[in-house]
Amino acid sequence: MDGTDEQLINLYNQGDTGALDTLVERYKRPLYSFLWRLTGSKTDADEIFQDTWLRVIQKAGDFQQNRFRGWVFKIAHNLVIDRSRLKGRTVSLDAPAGNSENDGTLGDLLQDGRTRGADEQAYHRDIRRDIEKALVQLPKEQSSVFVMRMTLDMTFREIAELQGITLNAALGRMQSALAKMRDLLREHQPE
Amino acid sequence: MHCNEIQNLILLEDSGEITAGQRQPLAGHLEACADCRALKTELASLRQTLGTADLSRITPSRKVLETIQTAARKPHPRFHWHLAQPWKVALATAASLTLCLTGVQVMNSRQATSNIEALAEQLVILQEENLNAADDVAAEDFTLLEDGLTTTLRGNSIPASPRGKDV
Repeated sequence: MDGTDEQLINLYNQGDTGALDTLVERYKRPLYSFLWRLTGSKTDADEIFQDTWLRVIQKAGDFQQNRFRGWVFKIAHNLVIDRSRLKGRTVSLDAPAGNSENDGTLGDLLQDGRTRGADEQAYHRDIRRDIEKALVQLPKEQSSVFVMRMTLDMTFREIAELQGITLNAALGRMQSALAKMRDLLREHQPE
Repeated sequence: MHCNEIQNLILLEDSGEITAGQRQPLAGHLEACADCRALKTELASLRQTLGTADLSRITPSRKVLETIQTAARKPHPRFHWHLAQPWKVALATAASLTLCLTGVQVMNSRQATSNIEALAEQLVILQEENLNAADDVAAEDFTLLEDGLTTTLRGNSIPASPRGKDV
């Protein structure tokens, strides 16, 4: 089924259930990978993915926004935050950026990995796993900005609007995420 | 400009949101600051690494997708059916009103019938007591009950039995 996301949700509101199937199919990979990267758990990602769409179905009649993508990711993001608060995993909303003693950058760490002689593919796979592990340990408010920007290619303005924060706050969260990830990756790097 | 502000500009440049006025201070700072140049490298390396991820196998379970599909096919709680088929709303409203009115009428009728039946039973009992014992007090009670029954019957628009007058 063709059409923009907004046209599809309007069709669904008029009784065309196939329109929602198309939306689910369209967002299956980006939304699920977003949840999987934030939670680090298939079970959590599955549950939040399901809850997100159940909420979309429940609130479809209220949809009045310009962009469906922002709306659906906002729902998913809020559910992740709620769940992490429930589990007490979030360290702090805007904790200060990483270790000030750290004198390296992620770029250095990534370059160091290459010089260890591992082949390119294996290297990327290993470092990606480290990044994914590090992401799960970040406060969700920071990791969600990181994932939205780095893997979903959302703009900071879009992220700020979606998370209900200012542009500067979104940029600050990204900086904090990068700094903390640098520290966490350093811990994961072999001596 | 402080490094912190410049790093915000680096992030905005990376996302394509930097303005023309912000480009010049950024370029000037980057020439002089190795830390801020490193952030640019960092972002590029991260994106390259994350971009190699094969997400094709990262998908929700079939059960989850089925649950969503089933939920999507349930009648929409607010919108679908009454907008799509307004005649159903009218029909449902009419049926509900008819049921309510019928219910009220039945309740009133049952109430009246049960009142009459109770009074009539007591009347018969007292009548028997009165006849057997020829008691003055009982006879007085009987008269009062008889009057009550007559009033109730009149109130419910049911003609009083001529038998009641004979007693």
